[in-house]
Amino acid sequence: MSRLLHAELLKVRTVRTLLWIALAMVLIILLAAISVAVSSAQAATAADDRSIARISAVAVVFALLSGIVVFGSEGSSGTITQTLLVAPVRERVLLAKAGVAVAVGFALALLAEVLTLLVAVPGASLDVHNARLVLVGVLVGGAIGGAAGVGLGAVFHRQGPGIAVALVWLLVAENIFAVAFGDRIKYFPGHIFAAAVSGEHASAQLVGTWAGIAGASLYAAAFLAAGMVALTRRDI
Amino acid sequence: MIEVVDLHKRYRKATAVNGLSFRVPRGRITGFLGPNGAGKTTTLRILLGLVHPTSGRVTIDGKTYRELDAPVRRVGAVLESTNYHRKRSGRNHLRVLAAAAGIPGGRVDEVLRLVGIANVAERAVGGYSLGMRQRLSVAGALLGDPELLVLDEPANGLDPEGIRWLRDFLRAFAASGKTVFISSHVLAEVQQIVDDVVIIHHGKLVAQERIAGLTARTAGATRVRSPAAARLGEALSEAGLEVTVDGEHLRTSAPPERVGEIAAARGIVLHELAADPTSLEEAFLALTGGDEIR
Repeated sequence: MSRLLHAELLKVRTVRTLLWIALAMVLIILLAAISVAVSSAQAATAADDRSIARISAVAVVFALLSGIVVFGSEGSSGTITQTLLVAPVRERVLLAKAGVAVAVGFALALLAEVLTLLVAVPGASLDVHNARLVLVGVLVGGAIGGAAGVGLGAVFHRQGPGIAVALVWLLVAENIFAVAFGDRIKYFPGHIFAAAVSGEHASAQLVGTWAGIAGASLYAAAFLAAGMVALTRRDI
Repeated sequence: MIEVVDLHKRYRKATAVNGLSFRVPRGRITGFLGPNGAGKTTTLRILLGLVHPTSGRVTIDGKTYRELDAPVRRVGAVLESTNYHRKRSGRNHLRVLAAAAGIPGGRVDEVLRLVGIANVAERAVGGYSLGMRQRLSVAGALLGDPELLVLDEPANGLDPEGIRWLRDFLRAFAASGKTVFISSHVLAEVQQIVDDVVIIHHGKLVAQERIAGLTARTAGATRVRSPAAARLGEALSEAGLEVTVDGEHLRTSAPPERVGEIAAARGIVLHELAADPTSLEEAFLALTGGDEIR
């Protein structure tokens, strides 16, 4: 397993796709954090602290996309064939990719938090103590998002469809479903991940942070299981 | 070494492999031939664990590919030439495979030198010619110093120099007692390098035998030239042989020894007497009812 982890890390390091994803995330976070800092919106309450800290939560989306790329780029380029020739036990390949995606997701979340705090602590008087639950949620959510992305990548096999479906679901579909499902929408994956990084107690719209983390873990496990079934059954 | 037993692969509407059984012996070069859609690639992919059979079994020394302990140290495979990340360098591509297989990094440079692309190893694969990619595929297959090479249409896209390199390489590989199983549509190329052939058609076995035996069995003709062609033709006909005229030559289905004996008995001078070289392509067409070779 350690060989496969090493190989998957090499794959990530020897192409620049994830570097571009990280750069896009950095740009978005800096834009958001700097705009808060220059707008003279100072954090006056603990809720303000959590709200500003949630700028870093965008890392969870990028972690999800990274996970999709970690698997889907192999399907898109066709290198999955050679990967499976070297490691024909497909379950191990998927688990190795999930391990790397968890590390990448965690790293993205950490980077996002460092950037957010570097700008917002001095620029918007952010109290880190008040935002600690958000910061924990983003770190854990980033790691879980990476694993969930690998599962989605394995289901769709290619990164393009995987990324498209994930973004359409998060940005459009789940909002449409909210109309039909009312409060029950808080159990849908986008809302569960949002709860995980909210740093808040349960409300009508979201479950609490810890329930969100637990739910996100379950979704990631389900996506990985679906990806495992798809990968082991697929003819390459 | 390779054993295919009653293999079936059915896709939704099509049957790719239909009850195929054959064995590939150790230490020989075996050609795997068949017209387009015969099931060659499907069979190779089942052998390599990439495609699931509907039923039947393909084993390498009694184990499926998935069951092999260190597959790349037992089997090297060259499949399509497009399975690369275009932005990754050739060396990094091999480093990834070596890392996954637990092969020391130094072996990467060895195989790059062996296939003659060490000078372009740092370039992104997207900038490689088709021939370079095929060599990179061969390098990947050799990483684990395997005892069996499986190649699917390896001459595709290679220039004459590349084809010659591949032929020489495979001969050298097999000369060390290793096994090669090669599918190809370049039948003339296969004819020059294989010891045995497995021919399939519509997913079924048509023939499996030594290449020399196949060409002899399907034709066995003799070409003969004589200044007394008319007398020779009469003599052969009187001996019950069918004779056709082809320019200065006569052709007959008897072996050269028989033709020589008949000519000698009549005192007929011969200027040329040779086995009529039947190409594998002709033999193949005879066996598969004339279907085009891919």
